[in-house]
Amino acid sequence: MNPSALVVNGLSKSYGRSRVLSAVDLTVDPGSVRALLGPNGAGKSTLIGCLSGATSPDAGSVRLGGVELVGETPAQVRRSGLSVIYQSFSLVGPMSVVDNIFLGDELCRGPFIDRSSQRTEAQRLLSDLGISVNPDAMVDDLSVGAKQLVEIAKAEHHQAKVLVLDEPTAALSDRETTVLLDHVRRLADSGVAVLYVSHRLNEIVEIADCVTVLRDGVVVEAGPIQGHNTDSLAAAISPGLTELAATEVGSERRSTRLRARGVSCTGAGPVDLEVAEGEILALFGLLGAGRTELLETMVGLTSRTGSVEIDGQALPVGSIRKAISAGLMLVPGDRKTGGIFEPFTAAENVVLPHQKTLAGNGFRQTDAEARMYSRVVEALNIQPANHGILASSLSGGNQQKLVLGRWLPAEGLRVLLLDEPTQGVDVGARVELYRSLQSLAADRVSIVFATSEPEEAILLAHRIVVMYQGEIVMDVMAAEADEASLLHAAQTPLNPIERS
Amino acid sequence: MSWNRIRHQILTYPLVPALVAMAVFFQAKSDVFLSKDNLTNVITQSAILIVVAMPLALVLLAGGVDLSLGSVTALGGVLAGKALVAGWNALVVLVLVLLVGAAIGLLHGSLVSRWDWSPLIVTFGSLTAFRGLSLAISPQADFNFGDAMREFGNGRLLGIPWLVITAAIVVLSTEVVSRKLPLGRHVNAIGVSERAAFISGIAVDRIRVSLYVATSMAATLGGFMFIARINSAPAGTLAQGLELDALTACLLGGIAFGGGRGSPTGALLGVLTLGVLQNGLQLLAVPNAWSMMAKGTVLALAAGLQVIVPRLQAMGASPEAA
Repeated sequence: MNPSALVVNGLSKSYGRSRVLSAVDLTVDPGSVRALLGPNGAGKSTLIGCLSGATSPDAGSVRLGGVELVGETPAQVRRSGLSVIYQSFSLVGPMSVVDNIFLGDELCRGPFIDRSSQRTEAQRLLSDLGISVNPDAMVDDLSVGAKQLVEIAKAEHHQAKVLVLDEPTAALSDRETTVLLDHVRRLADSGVAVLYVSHRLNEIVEIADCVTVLRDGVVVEAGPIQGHNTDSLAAAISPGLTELAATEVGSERRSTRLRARGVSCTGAGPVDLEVAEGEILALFGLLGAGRTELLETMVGLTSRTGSVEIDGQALPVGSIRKAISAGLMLVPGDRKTGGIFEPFTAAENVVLPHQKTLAGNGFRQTDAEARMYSRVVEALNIQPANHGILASSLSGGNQQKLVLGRWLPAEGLRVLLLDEPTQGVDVGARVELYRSLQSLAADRVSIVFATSEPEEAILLAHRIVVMYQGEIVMDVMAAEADEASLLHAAQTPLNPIERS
Repeated sequence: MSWNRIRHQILTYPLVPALVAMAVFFQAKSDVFLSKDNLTNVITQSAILIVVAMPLALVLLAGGVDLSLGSVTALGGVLAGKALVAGWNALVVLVLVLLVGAAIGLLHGSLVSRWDWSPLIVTFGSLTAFRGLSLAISPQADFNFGDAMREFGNGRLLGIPWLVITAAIVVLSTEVVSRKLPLGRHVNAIGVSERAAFISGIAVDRIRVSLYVATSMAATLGGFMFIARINSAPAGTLAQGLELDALTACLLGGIAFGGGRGSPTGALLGVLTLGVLQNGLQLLAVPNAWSMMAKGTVLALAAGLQVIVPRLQAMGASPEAA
């Protein structure tokens, strides 16, 4: 009798010459939560692929309840009791919650779908989750958090004995995260084995029973969570991580670089904002607070009312190109769809906006492009430094460095806006991103970044502005802020205005 | 050239070995395939398709599509025919039809870029509308366009047909745009992600409009070439199905339908593959019905190629590595 629900033994996988997993061992017992940690590119996604049947390993075995999986398809694996919930949802947007839960495994009476029992069963599953999602609602209309819960309901319908969650809380608000963690805990208590992948270490400490840390495809640490705290976990993920020293804005008087007055757009505003040169400002808020909308409208991606000035010069509405030439640039939050060009090389990703400037005589100057890229590689420590590598083969952290690096060579860079710059970025790359933002600020570039992590806001910013439902509800110096008050403000309407 | 480099090139342009294989096969079977006359013939017959397929490749790379090409070509041919029959100078007529092409492209581009209308539907509508307009302008086919046109359509300069020279100019300019100008990368960037391109400060709308202008101008140029070659301008049948041949060539050449991946070079190779296939099958006296089936099958196989090639590429390390 094997007590473990999931046993991975000596799993190896290579793509071409690069070894992604080498001899990985991992077990998850029924009723326990194992956290899987590791920097981006450590091989977590490949490991999950091997478990789900989407990827076939080169060597080693995966046993599910004592039965070895040999070349099963993802559908067969799911039927044998292992469900994976991915970062990108596998839900069909324009279909109802009920239809999604039973998609591919419909309850039938004869050849026909039995809609009424599907609905009853869906209601039962959903009420188990402790939240009220309308089973007839379109998935498209649900919040990210609700979608995640529908995914779990779907897994429960498949009577999953092993549940793999791949960064389930990356896009969730605090409240939604609490609900999700609660439910994961309850599932585990009912005997399900859970493998939980996340970059948010405080969640791990809260929910995991044991932990496996993967680095460069090798298990570097495995054991119970006892004795670990977020610092020791961070150190295990990226050793040599030293505490980032907070920088101070120089005491000398600095002029206002960015001034927004009465800025209002769909989803945010009216907002008044001033940022001094060399200042790092955090826009803290939960999902739906209007941070993204505010950043995108200031740069001219969406239409707005109100005025935005850079060094006293007003920007026209709706022209992102004019904003860029005035020195206002955006690193968008949706890296995969709005930032990175995956089929392009790393170098092309960086030099793209500058090719015209470099091409003095009209033709592309590939040498000058390569030199520009090398400077960015050096500034941001992009790995591998090889300029011909395709962006699609880089880890999330390095992709984010490319998107940020795109604006470093811009001569007129005055204000850099970043939307969730560290989402899906591992601890090691995070610190490097923080450092480069700090050194930009030291060069008198103003930085405004949106974040939903209070510790990130406090760590990196000089000043923190909290948003709730499109409006600014708090404005505080980072040195005087604490996580609890930020989180409280982020869930409280404007009245009364808190200012410090 | 290292083996890795060769392997990379072959995987980038899988049609090259296919062309070589077809050439060997047809030469073995017919003996005249590789003769200078026959090869010149293949390229001359492909010239018009090359002219329209190259700019279409750019439109596809940027994530758009232009299905109106056959009818715009017909309109260009019919208008040129009318003007030539009326005794206008051929060069003046050429400039004129190019301007008509530019106007049509401006219309398509504006609808698609500024108002976000679906390029598929807009140009599909134009396919029917411009064929109708051509028929309205010229219910009876004009013919006999004078010596200058006859020379352009069938004559040669230093042994090279004028039509081939024209096609070569179009190929060269498209290749320069795609490889040597920043615009080339910007076109691909728009195809990969319009939003990311926009945030990067690329003039997305302006580029998209200019691409539609380019395809329509190429189409009316193609119409001008067409009537020069056949010395008549039948509004109903002129360049019928050219848009599908051009699309076939582009897809065959590895350009992804959604944009972002591929290059105009692929489209050129696609046209040549179609031309060689058609010519070779003609030499072997294969009935037309069979060669149509062959053409269609080749395109379907190209869809398979688009799946297999990336996997093969992923298996080998990138050639720039190390």
